[in-house]
Amino acid sequence: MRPPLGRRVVDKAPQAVIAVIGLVVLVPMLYVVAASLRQRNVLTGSLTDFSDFGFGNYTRALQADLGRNLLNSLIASGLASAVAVAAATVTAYGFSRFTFRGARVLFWAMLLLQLIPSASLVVPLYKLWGKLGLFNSLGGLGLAYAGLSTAVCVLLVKGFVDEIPRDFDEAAAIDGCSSWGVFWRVVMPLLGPAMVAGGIFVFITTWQEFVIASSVTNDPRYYTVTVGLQAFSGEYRTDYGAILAGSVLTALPIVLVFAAFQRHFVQTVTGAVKG
Amino acid sequence: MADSAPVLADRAVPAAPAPRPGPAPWRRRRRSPTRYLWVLPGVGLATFVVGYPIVSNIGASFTDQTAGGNQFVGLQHYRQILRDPHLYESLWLTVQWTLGVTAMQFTLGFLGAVMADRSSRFIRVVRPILILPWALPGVVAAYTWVFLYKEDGLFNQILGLFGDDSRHAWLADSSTALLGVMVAAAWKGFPFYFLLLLAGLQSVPGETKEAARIDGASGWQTLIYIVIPQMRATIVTSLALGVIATSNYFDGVYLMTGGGPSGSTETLPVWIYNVAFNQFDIPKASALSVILLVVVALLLTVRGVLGLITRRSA
Repeated sequence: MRPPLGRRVVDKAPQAVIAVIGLVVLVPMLYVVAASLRQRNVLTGSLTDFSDFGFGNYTRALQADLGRNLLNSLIASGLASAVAVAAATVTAYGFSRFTFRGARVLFWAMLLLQLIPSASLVVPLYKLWGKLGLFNSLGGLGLAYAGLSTAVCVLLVKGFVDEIPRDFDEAAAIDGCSSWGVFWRVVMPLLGPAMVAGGIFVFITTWQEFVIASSVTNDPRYYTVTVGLQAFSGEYRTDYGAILAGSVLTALPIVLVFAAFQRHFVQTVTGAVKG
Repeated sequence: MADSAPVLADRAVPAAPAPRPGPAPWRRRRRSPTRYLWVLPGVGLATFVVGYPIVSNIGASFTDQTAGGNQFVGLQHYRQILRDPHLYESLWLTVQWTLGVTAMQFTLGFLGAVMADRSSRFIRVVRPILILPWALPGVVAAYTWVFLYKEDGLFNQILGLFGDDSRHAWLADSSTALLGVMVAAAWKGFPFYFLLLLAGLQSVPGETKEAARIDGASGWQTLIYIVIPQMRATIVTSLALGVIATSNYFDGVYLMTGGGPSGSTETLPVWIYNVAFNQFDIPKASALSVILLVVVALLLTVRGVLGLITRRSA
């Protein structure tokens, strides 16, 4: 026998609410993807009309600088991930295993830096990077991104280091390992998952970054994909199709990375906030 | 020797401590001066990129670098800014923006989290989709909504279905631009609350909810009287981080409206950027950056006070 109608409605209510929120999330994205494929009536084409679909907008977007911008973003974000994870892993080990005066203060001060708004940092960083010759350089941008993301990485990796029993370190030390040897041969091999999670987190967050990248570069050869898209949309103001195709190209790599590593990413964020 | 065997001492019989010649080699190593070197890479990197520029900027905001060389001018920049009525407009706008966006994001995120806190295949499939806007680059989210709001965009098409053919240019009108950007920001940012609150909900033990249900509480009562009080810490932390992030949010606002029309969406971060990179008044932008820091510091103080209150009453 089926339960009464009222009961069934109440049981399904959560699904219905989630479905509505899901639609609110998805419809704008699907609308943009559909519009980016239209050759005519970019904005006004009906959602069920696929007759004028094609890749013309995408070729125009790529013929402009967007291809190079994608590569630049890959370099800057990749560099930032590598540097931030390397520095953060060593530092997390230090904070987890060694005690010294001021360690706690230093740890929290480093996390506090994370709350400094980008908008407050843009002007001083622009001046400093100009002075150091790091203006218009992908290395300089990668370094800035690494510095901006280290603290969260340290927090994340430290959570994992804390879980590794100290007996491991001590056993290796008794067997004659140097301090560095203990870290390099015993602890770090166990931190693979943490380092991957940290690297993905840095990659996703720096790929999205706009304001720092736009202030420390002004030569189109060094634009990242977010800055490139903004410049492109300023230049091709009326070519809606190409701007939207460019937007899809900007989002696609990061959405794929996100889809593949969604669980890692979610754990990093919830873990970092709770920690 | 004081800290050499604290863990074992709790459990071992205290009568016969094993004689020790001195600290074991690995203990000694933990106190060696090289221990500072371990934390240097991370701390150094963060200091170089964030700490040093911020601190040196506070100093620079008291000097005038345009007049050749660094001339100390004291509070001159601040005095000028405090006399500028636009500061108060911008601050008030930032407050409205932050409260509005936070309210929308929190409501949507909380509703979603409560509804998604159960295991069904449908929800497992949809959950990652709900987080998707957050993974989108701010630039992409901004242009998505710019096109949705265009005269012939989706938004006006939907209104047309309900007989409203006004074809309003939402972002070009100073009376609707702020609300338009707020809705876009809510869409982009609500997954933050969704994720954290869902994690918070799931950390409330099932037995507690079960017990409430056996005592005759409805699902609604369980949520209000049992679950939410246990989630207080998660709620306060997520709101604190969310408010700080929202009040400083730049990308979406700048890319959708640039602060216009006629300053109606120029929140403090957008104003700083416009002063620095469109008016090229770096000294003024430096001082404004410090003012934004002060705003964040005040928000953190409020968070600290809130933390004390919730801890005491819990």
